[in-house]
Amino acid sequence: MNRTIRISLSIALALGVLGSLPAQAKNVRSSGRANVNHNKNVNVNRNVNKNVNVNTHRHVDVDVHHHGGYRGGGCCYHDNYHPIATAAAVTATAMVTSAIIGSIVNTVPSGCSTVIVNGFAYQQCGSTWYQPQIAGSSTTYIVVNPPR
Amino acid sequence: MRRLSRTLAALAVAGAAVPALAQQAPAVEPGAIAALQGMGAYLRTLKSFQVDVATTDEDVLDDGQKIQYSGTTSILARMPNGLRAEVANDRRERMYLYDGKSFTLFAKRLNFYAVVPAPPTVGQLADTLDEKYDVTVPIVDLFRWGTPGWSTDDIKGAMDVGPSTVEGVTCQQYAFRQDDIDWQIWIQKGDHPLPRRLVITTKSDEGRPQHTAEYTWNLAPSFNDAAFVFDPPAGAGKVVLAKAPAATAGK
Repeated sequence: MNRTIRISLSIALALGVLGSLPAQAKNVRSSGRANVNHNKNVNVNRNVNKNVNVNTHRHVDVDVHHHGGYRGGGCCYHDNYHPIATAAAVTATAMVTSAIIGSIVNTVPSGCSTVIVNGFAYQQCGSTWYQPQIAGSSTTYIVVNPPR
Repeated sequence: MRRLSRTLAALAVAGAAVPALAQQAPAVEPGAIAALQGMGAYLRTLKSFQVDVATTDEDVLDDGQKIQYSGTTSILARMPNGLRAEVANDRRERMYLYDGKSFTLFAKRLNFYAVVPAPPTVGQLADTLDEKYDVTVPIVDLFRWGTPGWSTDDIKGAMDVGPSTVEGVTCQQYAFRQDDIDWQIWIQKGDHPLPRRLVITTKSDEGRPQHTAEYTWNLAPSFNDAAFVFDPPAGAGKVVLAKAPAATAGK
């Protein structure tokens, strides 16, 4: 346990994520179905594929606002955790240094501001703009070109 | 058939065990299927209803450890074209609003909402959201049981478990088996065969995560049409509703 904490801490320090200690994180590999009936028009397997497992350690640095070790509850900038969001967020490591247009993250850095452009809300974080999108089981942010 | 005769012969020898085992003979008890159909048919007669659902769900972590979380879902339905669903659990707070013309999904904690055009019935809405956006209408079973597109074909096992009381309401408990789930339902006895409790066990993960739901019904809700129209709170930001992965892939 102590060792895990030490490792997490050193990762945090290495990434310069000070003031926030990402506790050891455990990923959700699957969730139970909450409904008996399927939409017959949709390939049932979509829900299975969605739960494909993702390597935890690659994005230890992404959810810097996470205070819990269990990647289930949300805290600050995202309202839910789901494996699909995690899968998408693997690319988000890049956001620490440079944000790639089109990449998707679960959270935006602290200090961003909400800006309304053409009626839609964006998150502006310095020179990087994120477009929030509500997804089936989470909310994610796509890095976009400045909308104005 | 020959095996059955042999089994019956063996049972006959066993004597007292025969009646009990003989009852289990059909894997799919017609009575259990009929009860489900009766419940479905009854649900489809409801013009409007309000139902509060207390839920528990489970996540299975990488190492097989299970984590349970609980929540509530409150549904107000005006059939066929009005739906208001408020979901609050440890993972998220969401509001789903549908007025027969458009659908709004509001993520309360983030104060974001997304609006998309919607088809004319709740049933079609459920399909559209699922197909295009991978969004599931909360407690969607209530809008699928007993509809023309619904069937019991997926059910591979059906059992009448017996009488059971849920929150003081006398019910009959049934247990069903499908390829990927086992599920149990408690249906209210009498003239109002409503689902009162539901348990779903997902079998595709060896951790077998379970979903439970207990329903508290109000069949005479008072509401007005504004209940189905979204009124954005101060500072709410309009965002996009993400397309379903399959849809994005150009299926």
